[in-house]
Amino acid sequence: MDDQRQLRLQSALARCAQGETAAFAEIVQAHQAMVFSIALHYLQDRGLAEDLAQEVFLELYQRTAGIASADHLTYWLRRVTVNRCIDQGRRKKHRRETALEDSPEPATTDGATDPLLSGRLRESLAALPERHRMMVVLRYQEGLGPAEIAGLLEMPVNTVKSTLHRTLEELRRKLTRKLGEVRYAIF
Amino acid sequence: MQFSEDDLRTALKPKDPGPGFTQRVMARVGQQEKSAPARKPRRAWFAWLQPLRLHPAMAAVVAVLILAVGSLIGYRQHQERERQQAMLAEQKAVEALRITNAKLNHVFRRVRQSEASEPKIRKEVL
Repeated sequence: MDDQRQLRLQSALARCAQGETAAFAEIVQAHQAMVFSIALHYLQDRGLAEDLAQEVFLELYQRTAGIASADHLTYWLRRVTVNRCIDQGRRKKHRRETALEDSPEPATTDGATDPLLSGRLRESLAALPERHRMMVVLRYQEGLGPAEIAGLLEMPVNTVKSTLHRTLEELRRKLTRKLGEVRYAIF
Repeated sequence: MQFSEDDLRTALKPKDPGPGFTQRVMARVGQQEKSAPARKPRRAWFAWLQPLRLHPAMAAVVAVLILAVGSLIGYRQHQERERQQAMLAEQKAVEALRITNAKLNHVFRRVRQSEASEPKIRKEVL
């Protein structure tokens, strides 16, 4: 996070704590992609992800006075989103059939990447156990280190490291199996 | 099939929820504001706490000061209570001594009376 953005958010937080709603809109705009994407990649349902993201921001609105800094805000948002996602995932077990293919994909992929591979990766991710899926999302979407992930998920760092390693292996196995099925269908 | 960590990063690239998300959140905030009682202005009560949140060392110093002042007040109150109890005990002791004095005087008078009347009786008997 660059200094200018951090200062802007700090000022928005201060104004928001004084009841200025326009400042809160600024905060939402700055973090909506992060909150929404964690929910989307975890729940694999655009509608649910948007609802969850809105709920997170509504909760934030009630608690802006308790947020001390821009870093604290980011940490708070990640933590609340992660907890809500896990709760939501427990309430309703999502099926892969209602996954990302149903939703319009915003144009974020660049020319150098394989959209098919990205799609397959997201599908395989959806089949992972809850905590493993959240670890992968936090590691590769948010770029967090094992210590930060361990803090958010309240588990030992070594468990995070070993789980991430095993999860990547599992993803590779799943993807190979899928590709094998596709080849079989073609030939 | 092999994939790199960069492929994962690309697949999990943050996505914007699309146009209108902020407006939808703000609309819900507005609804919440209408349905709930007006948010109390926090600045009046909590503004002075804001610097403490940002500076943990300052917060620690303030906490130590509050503890010291609290302890001093507690100690003074304890001393005052003990002084009052001592005064009460002193008053009780004085009262007890006064009663004892009165009783002893009474007994002494009776003894004197009985001593005065006893020789006469003895003479009469002899």
